Amino acid sequence: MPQLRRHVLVAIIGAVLAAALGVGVWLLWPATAAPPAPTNAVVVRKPADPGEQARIAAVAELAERLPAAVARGDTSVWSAATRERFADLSATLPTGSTVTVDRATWRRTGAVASVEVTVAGGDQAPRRYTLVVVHEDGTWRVSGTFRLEQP
Amino acid sequence: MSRPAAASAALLLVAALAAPPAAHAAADAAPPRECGTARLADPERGRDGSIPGLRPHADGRFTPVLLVHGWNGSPETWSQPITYSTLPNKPSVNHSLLGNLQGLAGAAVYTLDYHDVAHRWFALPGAGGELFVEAENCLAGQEAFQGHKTIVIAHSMGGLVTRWAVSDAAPDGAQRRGRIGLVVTLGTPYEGSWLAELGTSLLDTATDIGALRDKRVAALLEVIHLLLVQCEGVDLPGCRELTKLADQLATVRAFVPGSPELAALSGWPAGMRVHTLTSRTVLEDAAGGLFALRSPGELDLGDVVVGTDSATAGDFPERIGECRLTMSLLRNWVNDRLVDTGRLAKIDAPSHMFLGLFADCFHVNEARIIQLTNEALGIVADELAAQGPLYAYRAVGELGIVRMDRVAHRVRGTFVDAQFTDDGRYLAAVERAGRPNARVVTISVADGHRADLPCGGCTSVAPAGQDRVAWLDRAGKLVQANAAGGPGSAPVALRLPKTAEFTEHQRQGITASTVRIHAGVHGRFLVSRQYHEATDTTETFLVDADGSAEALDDNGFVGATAVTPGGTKLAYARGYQYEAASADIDVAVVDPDKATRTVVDSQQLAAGIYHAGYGPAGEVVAVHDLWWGYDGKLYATIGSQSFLPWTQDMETVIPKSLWRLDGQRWVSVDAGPLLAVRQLTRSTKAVVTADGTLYTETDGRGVKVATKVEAILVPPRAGDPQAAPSGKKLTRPKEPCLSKADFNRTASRLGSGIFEGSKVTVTADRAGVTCQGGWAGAWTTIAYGSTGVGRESYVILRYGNGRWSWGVDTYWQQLGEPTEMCQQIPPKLKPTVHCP
Repeated sequence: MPQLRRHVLVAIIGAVLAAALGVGVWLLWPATAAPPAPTNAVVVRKPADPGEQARIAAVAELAERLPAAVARGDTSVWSAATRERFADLSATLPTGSTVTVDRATWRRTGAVASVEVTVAGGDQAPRRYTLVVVHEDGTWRVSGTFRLEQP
Repeated sequence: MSRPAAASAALLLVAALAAPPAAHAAADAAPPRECGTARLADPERGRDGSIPGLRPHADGRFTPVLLVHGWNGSPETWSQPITYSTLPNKPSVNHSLLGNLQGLAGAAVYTLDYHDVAHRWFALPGAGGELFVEAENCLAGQEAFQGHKTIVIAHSMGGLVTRWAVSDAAPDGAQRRGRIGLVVTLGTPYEGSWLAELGTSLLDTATDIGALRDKRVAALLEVIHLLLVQCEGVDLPGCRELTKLADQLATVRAFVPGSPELAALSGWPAGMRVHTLTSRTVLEDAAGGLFALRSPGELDLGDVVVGTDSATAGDFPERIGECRLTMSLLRNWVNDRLVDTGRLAKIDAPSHMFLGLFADCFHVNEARIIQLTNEALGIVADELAAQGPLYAYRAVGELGIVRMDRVAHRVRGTFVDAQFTDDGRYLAAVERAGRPNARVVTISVADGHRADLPCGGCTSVAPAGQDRVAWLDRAGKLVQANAAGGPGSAPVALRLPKTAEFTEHQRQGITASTVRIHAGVHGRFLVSRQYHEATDTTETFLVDADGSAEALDDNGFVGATAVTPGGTKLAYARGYQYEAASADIDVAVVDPDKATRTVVDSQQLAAGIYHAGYGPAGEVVAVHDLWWGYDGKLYATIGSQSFLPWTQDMETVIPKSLWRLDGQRWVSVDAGPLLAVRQLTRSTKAVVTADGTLYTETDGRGVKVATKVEAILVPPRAGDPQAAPSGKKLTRPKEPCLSKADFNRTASRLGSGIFEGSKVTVTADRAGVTCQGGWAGAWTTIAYGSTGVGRESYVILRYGNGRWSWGVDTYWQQLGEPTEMCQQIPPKLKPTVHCP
């Protein structure tokens, strides 16, 4: 009988220790999954990847304020190479146009990303583009667009 | 067979193929199978499955051609088939650049293999640079390559490896640069690669591209990003290339333009001969429009890895293979419709961009793009040919100077009488011969420069020592000039002796004559004087520069001439004019210093040829070409024809073929048919075939050089007793003959057309038929019609041009009187016709 009690005691102590260990691990484990460390390779990141939503939000904000920036003559929204390539950026977007971002199409490789946008307004029917942005000098800037054409 | 075993077998085969012919053994050495990290490339099979052998230079040695792959590459760079093109029409080529190089005479093609360390910066210890040095040092020490500088073809970083190896930074770099004769680079990042900047921006670790101002790199970034997105989960050929490229981006830091590694390298040393080749893609409707704005102009995206400026840096000859792509789907669709309706050539329609960046003009394909491989091959072939033998040709409408099997210089015009100057530096010929505006045209062997020397109506030209040429003007006066140009000397009147012929012609009132210069040797000239109205009489003289002359000959006009390579003797064919550019029948050999002459007369010439002891009626032996070989022997192209009086046909007895004069006897060398031969080296000769096509032939393998060729010439140079032509000798054909029954049948058929249409029956007597030299004769009874009346007669049939024809009989003697006939028919038939 005393031997049985000793076995029960050992089992209880073991269970308590296991529970304590589990609690400790639970307490030490991050509450939410942190972004994995970037790899030294080319990886195409998508909206569901950790950390991308914040980037998408920043680029969406940039895209949506493009018409106003164009109207103001604010060229800081364009990358340095784009500013060099296009002598006159005032006719980029028609006055009164709007830019809507399709966030599900976001793709990023390092400091270069793209997302599909729709430009509406002006005298023309809505047009869809792939907007390419680069992270340059600490902020996202527009590098170029590719029109999604239908022949 | 395991792979190493197969490789060993292949190497043994290479070694066997590379083994020099016995005749060259004394001077030759086979290229080693391995030299440091360089390996003699396995021979690539020909289209017919044959394995080509190594073909040495004239001296029996080889030029090592070292192929150096690039960063992260391997020797397979060079052995892939040439399947890419800058044009939409893709080549259908089974061979690789390596295989094509192996086909060049004189080339021993090696590949440098440093693939184990090819991912490392080449200048580091144990990396590509050291291995190149090791290989080159080994090649430089080989007997097989003595006298021939190494040619390097390098792809990508291989060009930087080569440049480093000849710089002062490399061990013995200064000595090495003198041993490398030529470098051809393909897509070498002399000023860095865009890969590094792409990596900086596209790697997952990249957080900021910085201020990227190069619009080409910016465009590439956009395009490659979009392609990476498109290629996700897709397995297309271009996607695979893109993925490989992406995998390499992390390790190319040293290739950043301006990196410390690049900055530490020095440029090509002065005097290095370098050709820079690269490909590039030009993007029309360029990447990165901006909403309503179209991107201005075109973008040169280089070969994606290396910008065009970087790959062609330096003041060197360059060649760029250009692919054109469009970014516009709409443009692509419109182009397709235009091509379909025939309003746009397919080659003018740019391909759509999608993955095109990683196809024809992509960096890794540069050794497989036909425009670039052709260029590289041409450069190397020119270099090898420049080490090969030199000769010249005169063809209808042009003169050409040939190096090995490539026409180095070509001049258009109608020329006669081409000759090399005595120093071999110039080729001279007469244009507009005999006209008031006639001129001697000279071509510099070194650079092809043409000089026109007005020659006052001259008809021929001769070398006059060193770089000088001589001609006779319309007045028959001797003029000399420098072949490089400039005014000629004051004309010198010839003082030709008043020979017995001269006196006799004067007595007959024949005073007009044409004086012509034929050859020059040791400052003396072979000159002939042909009397008008007596064209069968020509006198020959040796004339000095001051116009004084010695009589040589007064028998027959001067045909082909030849001067020994050392200029010690000359020979000329003489005789009666038989047909254009040929002479019948003697050959005279002259020692110009002693003005002595040896004649190989027509009987000896004929006797030495083929039909010793007899000659068919009317046979004409003609010397069409005469030359003194570098082996010191006199050679001639000789042919003969026989006139068949009963059919009025000319029958070829001896085809134009190559003969050598051994003492007083001509010996068959090559049965031909051919118009001319010049043995250039021990293994290489120039051959003009019967249709006038010129080939350079090495060890039996010919390369076509020109057509409608009338004459070939070689410059004077040191002799070589082993530079002797050879070929399939002329053999006496099996003589045609007729059995008695066939003779009776044939003679009866032919005779029925002879005897005024009467049907005759010819029957040979019991002695039967005697044949010799294409003749068949018998003593016969000829019966006329059905009368049964017959006469005895000899009948001789003649075989020519593939058929028998009636020759002669007792009553029909085309060969003249019996005594005359008896001199002309073969000796075995003479008893048949009762000749004495």
